[in-house]
Amino acid sequence: MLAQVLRVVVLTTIYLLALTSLRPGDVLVGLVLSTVVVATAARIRTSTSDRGRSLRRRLAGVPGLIGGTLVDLAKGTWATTRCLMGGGLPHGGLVEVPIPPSGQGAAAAWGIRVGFVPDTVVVELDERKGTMLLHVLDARDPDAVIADQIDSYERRQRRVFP
Amino acid sequence: MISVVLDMAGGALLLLGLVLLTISLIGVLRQPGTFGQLHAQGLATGPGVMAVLASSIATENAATITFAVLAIVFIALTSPVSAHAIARAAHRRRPRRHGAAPKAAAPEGTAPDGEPEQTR
Repeated sequence: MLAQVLRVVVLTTIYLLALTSLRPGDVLVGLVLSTVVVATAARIRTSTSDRGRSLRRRLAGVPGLIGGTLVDLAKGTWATTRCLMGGGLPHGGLVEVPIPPSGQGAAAAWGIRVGFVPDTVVVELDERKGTMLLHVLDARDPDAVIADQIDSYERRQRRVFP
Repeated sequence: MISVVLDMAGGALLLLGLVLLTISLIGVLRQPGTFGQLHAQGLATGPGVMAVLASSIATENAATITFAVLAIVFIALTSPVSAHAIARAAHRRRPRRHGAAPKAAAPEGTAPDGEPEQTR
């Protein structure tokens, strides 16, 4: 129940931010629209894998996820800039990263988080096979790339999208 | 005092963003392959645009900053998806070493975009 209320509040906030308005009418319309969206999504949702998870624990991991992603973004930006201003991507290549068994949406969140950083491009994401195909700037040591990705998932994402 | 600090931060972010956008443009023009160009455009659609939008703090206008924050969130969620769609299409167009012959004429072991095929 708390999760549903939180979703309604977040959606209403986004709606009001987009309107940049706090008029009672706009707040009411935002609440109604958000409630309809959240209720519809709750009916469509079939998986129950996330039910048992602690919402508070997941929310506590959000700052780490955002902060860690920003650190990855800064590192990736630097690495990509060096490559582009240097000799290009002589060692660029594809690396297949195994995805550990995870809950609903975890693979998608992983793909967005990794794809947001300019030094990695998500080519394929196969939840059934449990693999993610990445194009990286330096694919000479694929084991190191895989270890980096798994480590990044464990430290940054696992608490929020287990 | 705070206004001066915000002006300086906004100017620095704008400069950073423009530098990143320029490097991204050079990269897109110089890189021969699709994946290289995707790495280059990632600089523009990620940190480049974000830095330019974040420079809106110098305006000290709540509405402008709010729109900039929303735009940053929107870009953060959508740009990886578009890059993935392009990368996936490029990967599927590549000739396979074992299997069906490629539609586009390309040297063996080389993708149509000029990049060597090397899945590791």
